[in-house]
Amino acid sequence: MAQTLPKEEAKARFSKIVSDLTKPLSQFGQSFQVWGFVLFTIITLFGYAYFLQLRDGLGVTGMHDYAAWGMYIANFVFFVAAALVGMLITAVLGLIGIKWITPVSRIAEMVAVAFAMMAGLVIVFDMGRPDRLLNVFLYGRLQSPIVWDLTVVMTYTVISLLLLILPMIPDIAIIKKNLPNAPKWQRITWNLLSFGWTGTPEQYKSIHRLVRVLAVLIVPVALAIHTVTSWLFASTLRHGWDSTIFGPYFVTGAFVSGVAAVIIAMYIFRVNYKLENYITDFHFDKIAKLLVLTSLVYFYFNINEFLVPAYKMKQGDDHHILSLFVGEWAGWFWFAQVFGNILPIILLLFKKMRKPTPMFYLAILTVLGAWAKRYIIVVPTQLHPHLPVQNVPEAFHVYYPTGPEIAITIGTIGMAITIITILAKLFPVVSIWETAKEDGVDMDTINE
Amino acid sequence: MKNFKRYISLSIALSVVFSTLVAQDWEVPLTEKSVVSPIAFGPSTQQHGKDLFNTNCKSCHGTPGTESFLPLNPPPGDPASEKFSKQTDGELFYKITNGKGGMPQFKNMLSEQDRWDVISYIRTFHKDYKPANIEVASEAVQSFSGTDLSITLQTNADSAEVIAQVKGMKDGQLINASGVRVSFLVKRNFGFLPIGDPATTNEQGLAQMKYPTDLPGDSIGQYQIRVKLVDDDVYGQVTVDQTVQWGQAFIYDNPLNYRALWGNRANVPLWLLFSYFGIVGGVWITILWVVLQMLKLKKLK
Ligand code: HEC
Repeated sequence: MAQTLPKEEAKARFSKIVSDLTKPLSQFGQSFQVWGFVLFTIITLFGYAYFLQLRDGLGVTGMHDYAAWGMYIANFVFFVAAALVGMLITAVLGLIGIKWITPVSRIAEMVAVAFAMMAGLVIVFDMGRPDRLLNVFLYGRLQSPIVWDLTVVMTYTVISLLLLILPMIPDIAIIKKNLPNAPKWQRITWNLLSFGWTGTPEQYKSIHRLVRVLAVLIVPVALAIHTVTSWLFASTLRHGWDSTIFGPYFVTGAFVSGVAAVIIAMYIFRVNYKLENYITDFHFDKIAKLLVLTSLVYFYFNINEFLVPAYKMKQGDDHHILSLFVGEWAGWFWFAQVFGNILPIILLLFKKMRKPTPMFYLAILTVLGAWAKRYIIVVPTQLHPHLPVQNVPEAFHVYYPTGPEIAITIGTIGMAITIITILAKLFPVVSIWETAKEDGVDMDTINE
Repeated sequence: MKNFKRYISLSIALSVVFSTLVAQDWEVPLTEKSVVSPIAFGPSTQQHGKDLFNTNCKSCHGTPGTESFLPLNPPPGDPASEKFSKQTDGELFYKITNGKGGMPQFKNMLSEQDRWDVISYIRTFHKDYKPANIEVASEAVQSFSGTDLSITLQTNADSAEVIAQVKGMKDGQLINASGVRVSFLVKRNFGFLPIGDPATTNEQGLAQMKYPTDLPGDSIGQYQIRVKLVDDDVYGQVTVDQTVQWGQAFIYDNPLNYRALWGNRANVPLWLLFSYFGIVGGVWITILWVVLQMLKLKKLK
């Protein structure tokens, strides 16, 4: 922490921070309107496609008896994965006292909340009869990973939401004071979420304690959510899924895609919200190194996951592995491995690459690779069952997602981005009070 | 090079042997080829045959005339095709009765009359088919020509034998029915299983069968036997059931009765139940506590 600034300087510094970070909240300019229109279109298309699916059932998708899990579940796994970054940054890095996460952790938490919420919804969209969702709780068997999955997804979403709101309470009180002319919907939300904050030392002590408790709590819950997701696959006896390391394999993969998603969000906010002085090259450099670290760990798990069975080439596994390495899925597989894992490791070793703009494009490729990886985890295994696929319609030998299916999937991604957009219009994406405190502004000034 | 040639010839030899093993030709004994139906084909046999075909054959042979049979090797073939139409009734009957390879044996699944009925249905798709001589066919009719047949059973616990006494009305008199075919069955999980081939009653109207004693029975070794007349199309359904105690005591240990991972909802393993609710409860109590503390922030003045 910097030296405490003299009173006058502190005041000036603080009001600069407040105005820099709250300005975007009241700007609904042309580019924002275009952005909103794009999201609106995506969600409208989703609405139509989902209406078709509700009316005609899952038959409008490309799924069938063999590929009963398709794009939706791949997308679900991707969302859960990316959501894990909240836990990595706020909890793991936060608890061990890493300083540079201050301007990043709220963005990470927003990404986590949006993706975790959508993960829960995607499961519902994957149901032909969503009205039967309640049956999972009424009649579900505790022996079934599906029940655990729903439990952890809900729990993780709630904890992430709390971890987003709690450290934000002082900020909400600040913006409430500083933006008295904001639209009604913003003011109502702020009133509700400021919890009568006045900035007493006891209040600070309390939220510090609560954040700490949640940060500890979220670590096992986050591990559970993605481990259970992996067990949906690993607890079945299928080639490509029958793996003992699926839990850690998924968790480490999740960190890669989550960090990449946060880099994208950081870049967009930095450019659009003009936060160059807050989300600096230094922060990009740091998170680039975090991406290299997570990618290296993930790389290690990939070697274990693929080379060990490839060395043995057990009957059945051989078909699966060859189809990934050199067969029909090779394009997807190598795209996923190269862009989703290997490229970040190599490129980010160079200092020149650890700059916002190149990292932004690299992160987009990494996220695409990560998405493709989920797709080839879910789909190919189902098309290679133990018993040969025979005496079924020709179309059952392959799986191609249909138009409505793709529209619904893109729609869910659009919704996740919409959630982030709304959150970023309601709350400052970088913590005001923590930034001010690190810059040496005294607590009295902050609480004025 | 020499080795190579040897491999080639070996593999040719193997494949010849293999393909003959797999695709052995039908061998229908000459005497069977000329067998004909005991009852003339007509609308009623055809209708019945159609029902039987749809439940027993269609899954593999498809709808006749549409080439919609399963792509198996060797192929089942379309019953409307020449492959079927150029065969005699006897050949078809023999093949349906005995089966081969992918073609199941229907000896015990369909009665003789049922099999003929299916053939009569198949024949409706063959334009050039000429019905066989019915006079010849009448020879095949059962030798006992009485009515109102009944069976009474006598069981011998020591030898596990069943003696069936068949009687029937002829010329206004109840007499022993000889030359009637009787089948002996035992009840299993999914229906009745024949024990051996049907027996024909002797001069005294008696037929007998020895039952195996190593069959799994119920908890005290009982199983249910059934004796029935084979030619129910001639005599009507005549069936007698009886419970005997000739089997092995067998207590079915239903794995669903235990708490286990594969169990139903009520039989969740206790360790899982406690872990689940322990963990979920602990986490949610903490979450609720955090929310309560948040609501109390206001008071921390
Ligand atoms: C499980 C599938 C299956 C079912 C059910 C089945 N068949 Fe077949 N059938 C076959 C196959 C396979 C063949 C060819 C066997 C061969 O040539 O080795 C065949 C052959 C035949 C043939 C001989 C054709 C020839 O090549 O001469 C006749 C006749 C026949 N089936 C009649 C029937 C009738 C009647 C039924 C119903 C009562 C029936 N099948 C039910 C599979 C089946």
